[in-house]
Amino acid sequence: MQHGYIYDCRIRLVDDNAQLRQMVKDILKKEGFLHVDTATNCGECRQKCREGAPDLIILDVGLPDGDGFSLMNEIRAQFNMPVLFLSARDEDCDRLLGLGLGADDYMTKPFLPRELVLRLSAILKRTYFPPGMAERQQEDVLKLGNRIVDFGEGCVRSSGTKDDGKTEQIWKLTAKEITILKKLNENRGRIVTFDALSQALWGDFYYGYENSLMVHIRRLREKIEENPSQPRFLTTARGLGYKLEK
Amino acid sequence: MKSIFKIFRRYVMTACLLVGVVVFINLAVLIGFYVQAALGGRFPNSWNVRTGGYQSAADALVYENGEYVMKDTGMEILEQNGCAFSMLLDGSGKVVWEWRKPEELPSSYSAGDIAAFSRWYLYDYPVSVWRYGEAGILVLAYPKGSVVRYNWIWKRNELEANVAYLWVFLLFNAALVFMLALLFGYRFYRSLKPVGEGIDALAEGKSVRLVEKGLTLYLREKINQTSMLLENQKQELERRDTARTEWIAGVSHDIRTPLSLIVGYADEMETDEKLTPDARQKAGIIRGQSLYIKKLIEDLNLTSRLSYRMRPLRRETYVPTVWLRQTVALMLNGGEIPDECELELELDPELEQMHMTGDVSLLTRALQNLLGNSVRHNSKGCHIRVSAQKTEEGFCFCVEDSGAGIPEQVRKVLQGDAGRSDAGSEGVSDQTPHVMGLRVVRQIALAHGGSLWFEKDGKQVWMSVKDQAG
Repeated sequence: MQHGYIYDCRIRLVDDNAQLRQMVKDILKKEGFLHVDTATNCGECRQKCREGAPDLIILDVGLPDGDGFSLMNEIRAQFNMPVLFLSARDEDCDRLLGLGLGADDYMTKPFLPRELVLRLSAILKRTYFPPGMAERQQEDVLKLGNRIVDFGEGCVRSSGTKDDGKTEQIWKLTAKEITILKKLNENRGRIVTFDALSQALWGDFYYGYENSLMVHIRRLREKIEENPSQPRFLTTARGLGYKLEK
Repeated sequence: MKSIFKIFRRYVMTACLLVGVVVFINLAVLIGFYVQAALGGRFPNSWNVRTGGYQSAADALVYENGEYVMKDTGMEILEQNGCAFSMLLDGSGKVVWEWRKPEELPSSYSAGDIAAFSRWYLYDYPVSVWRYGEAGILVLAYPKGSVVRYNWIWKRNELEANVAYLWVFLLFNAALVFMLALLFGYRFYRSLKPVGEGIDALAEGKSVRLVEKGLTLYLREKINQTSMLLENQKQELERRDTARTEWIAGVSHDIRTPLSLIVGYADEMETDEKLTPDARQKAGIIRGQSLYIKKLIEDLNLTSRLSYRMRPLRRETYVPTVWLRQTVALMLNGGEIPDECELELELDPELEQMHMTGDVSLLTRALQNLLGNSVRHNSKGCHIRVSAQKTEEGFCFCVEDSGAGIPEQVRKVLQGDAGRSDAGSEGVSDQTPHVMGLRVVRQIALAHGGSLWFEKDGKQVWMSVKDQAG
């Protein structure tokens, strides 16, 4: 892989419907993917793979000359590239079979193009662009208003400087608080249930940890929020969980 | 086969009761008849009861002027009693008076003759003797063959023993009747038992093949025929159901690709800044409705699979509260519940420790459909409250919204469905509201041993779920 970024990756779409192929190709091109080609069936896909393997394959399950699952196994025996299934089969068993065989994702038709692009990008990033040192440094810092969370240092800093006439304040984060923040940050903008947080913190069900979790959240708010009683970033989804607002 | 054993027991009891009733009626009739006859004096030729008559006849025979003469009253008695002839013997056995005495009869009798005929017959005439005066004997004879006359002599102890034997005899007979009833009943029971088991198996929908023999041969033949008929019908229905399910699955599969194109292009148009806001808005509506069609297809596919039992439960363990929170959070995160809708969760703390087994993907679908209903029918936003509580065999949850609630017509359709195990399209008219989403929810509840019901005029939709472990 000698690509600058995910948009340089070669993507191959295998589907027997010409209009769908064209639509997906257009969408991907519009999103900036430079190398998108298509195949109508298993035979054509095999042929094209022999000529040059892509970096990711979007496969339909029901193809005129075979099924996508077998084709994936066949291709995977020679090349190790990620596979995303895009199928009209919505049965759980098909989804489980596809993922169980080692597919990187499984989407059912009809699909939202934006969702396809997001999922595809995530796979490409995960496979070919694992977080490097530079990115890690970037990711190790989380900016919440005028507070900066430094995961590396395990502390929260107020972003004021001496020049502003304000003193920079530092709050130390506990291991549990860091875990909570990381979990929320991974799902930023989305609700993370009490149960998911309990699993991340204690590897256990939420029952019995209600108060502990509440105490951790309260302390965390005191460190990351300007006004902890009216949180702007770490909000509560009543009865469900917490959310780190964007 | 308890019912067959009951029949057998009732048969034996009825047989015994029948014997008892018949014996009782016989005795009652006999005793009644004798009592009434004795009181009414209706025994025309009785040897013993009419002794009063003989005495009167003897009294009417008088000795006058050196000869014996029967008065008219005596003659009347003889006539009325149907006497064939009569004679009076003196102390030496000589006939001193006679009335209609046949020629062949001697006119003198020895003591031996008298002893013989007084016990049995005189020249085949049944006779009765009556002491007359000091030494005389009045003989009254009846026509030949009109009276049976035998003397029985019993020793007293034997007679008393016989009375005791009578009870033994009666008891023995009763026991015999009981044993015979038991034996015949048992034979009938044994013969009927497979028939009963066959009917049970038929009721459970199993196939039956009984050996065609015995008392119940005809019944067994009929049960075998019924079983074959039901089996054929079942196979035919299964074939039809499979064909229907496969057809629906096929259609829902084929429709997905064209729908992908509609959704894809509509989405592209919606985000295309070169288009007018109005056109983009319309594209957004097309996209939204296409995704709704997708959901309808999924429901159609699922309802058909659940109706025809082609979607077995995929059991897994879950904690109800964890599942509820996760599903609601997923819907909120995925934008399926818009910001206009305020959501509230109220979960019974007891559920936190509860581990249940069930098909989580189906349950998730049910909750998604219920929440989706609240969102779809309250486009201007509403307050949605999800609550859950523990029940004896599992838990139940409720989705309540501040909107109009489920219309009565829809509730009626679903309650009508409740009487049927499947939810086919039978009986659906043009006026019938389309309730596929809720129907799927009801089927999922049924598949989990629970039910779906409505409260507060359809504002609250409740679903109960039982543990499906094992």
